[in-house]
Amino acid sequence: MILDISIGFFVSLSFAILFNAPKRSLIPIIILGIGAVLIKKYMLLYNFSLEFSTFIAAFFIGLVSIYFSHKQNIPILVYAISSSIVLVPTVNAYKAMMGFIQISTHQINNQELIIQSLHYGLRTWLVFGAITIGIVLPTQFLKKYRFKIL
Amino acid sequence: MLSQIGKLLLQHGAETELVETSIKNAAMKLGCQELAILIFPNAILLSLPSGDKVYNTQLYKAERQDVNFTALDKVIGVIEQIDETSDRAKLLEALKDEKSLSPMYPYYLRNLMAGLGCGAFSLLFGGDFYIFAAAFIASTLGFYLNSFLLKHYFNPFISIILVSFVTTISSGLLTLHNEMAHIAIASSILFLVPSVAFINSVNDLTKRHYTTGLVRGVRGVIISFAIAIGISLALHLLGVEKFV
Repeated sequence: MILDISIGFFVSLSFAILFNAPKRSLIPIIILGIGAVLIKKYMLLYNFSLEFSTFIAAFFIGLVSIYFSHKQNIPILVYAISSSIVLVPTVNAYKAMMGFIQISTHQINNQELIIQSLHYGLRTWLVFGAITIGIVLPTQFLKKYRFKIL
Repeated sequence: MLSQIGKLLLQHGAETELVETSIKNAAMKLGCQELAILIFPNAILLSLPSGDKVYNTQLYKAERQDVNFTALDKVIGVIEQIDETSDRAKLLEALKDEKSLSPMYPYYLRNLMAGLGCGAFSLLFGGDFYIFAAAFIASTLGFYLNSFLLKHYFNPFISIILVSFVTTISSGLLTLHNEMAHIAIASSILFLVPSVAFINSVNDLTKRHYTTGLVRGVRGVIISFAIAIGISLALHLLGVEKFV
């Protein structure tokens, strides 16, 4: 639990600084990042699928960042992007890529490998889709309550 | 002035809807009722009516594209300041002065933070402290190289290939006989992931700005392929079988 909180803290803080986010938006970004990590972890513990739990975590980010952007007058994008980095499925993407490299170099007849790397590749794209749709969806149907300029 | 607003927003990674609404907002505040805007992925076409059936139309190009959220915040702050009484020349000057508009965080802090973020990410996938250290070193090195190459005006895609190559080589060499080498490699490359491009793309597509959305999506895909090319080159050098 403490490890998860510190992971969320460091990842979201560091990517906010990499993207040069304004100083007053750092604390909301950290809150969002920690929340997303915890939601994803506990939904995975209760046997939800990876895609669905990522979607819910991204939805949480999108929903809460609307509140913060209304309060602080900063575009939603600033909060959403820096804090949603924690959800990116890097290991799945890496495994898919490794599988494809192995198929292309040798091991042509290894069917298990082909299916496995396809599985990881599809999973990566689905999780990416879940992140983006989860962030974009709240800004669509809550148009009325949106940030004044956005 | 309107064009400067739009150009800055487009350059620093805003979505199309945001650019359009903020230009319109500023135009309303400057007292101009009719306005036609056309936004391309890297240019803005503005058409302002002046007098009867005479239009002023001009095309403005956005020279580069990077991610800088402080600049977005500052530009929106300037739009808020516009009203009848405010001094327009002063505001325009504030928009044109790029240095004061976007104070970057100090360089060593950003470099350190790139390393820390990627290291913490490797812990998320169950790496131990050694993996954390390897990812930290590799991504710090990679970020240093990335900003060096961008400072010398390399083609961004080629520089991404080079950076991912170097990052993978260093993290792979550090964890050569470790079972969790794949975690170190996969998480040390994370600071290159084009998240802004992907999220902006979906944002634009759902708000019916199809051209910009498609272009941004393709850009994101190209960047991810560039990363993959760099990683696979490095792994062929090191030997693929060790890192499955």
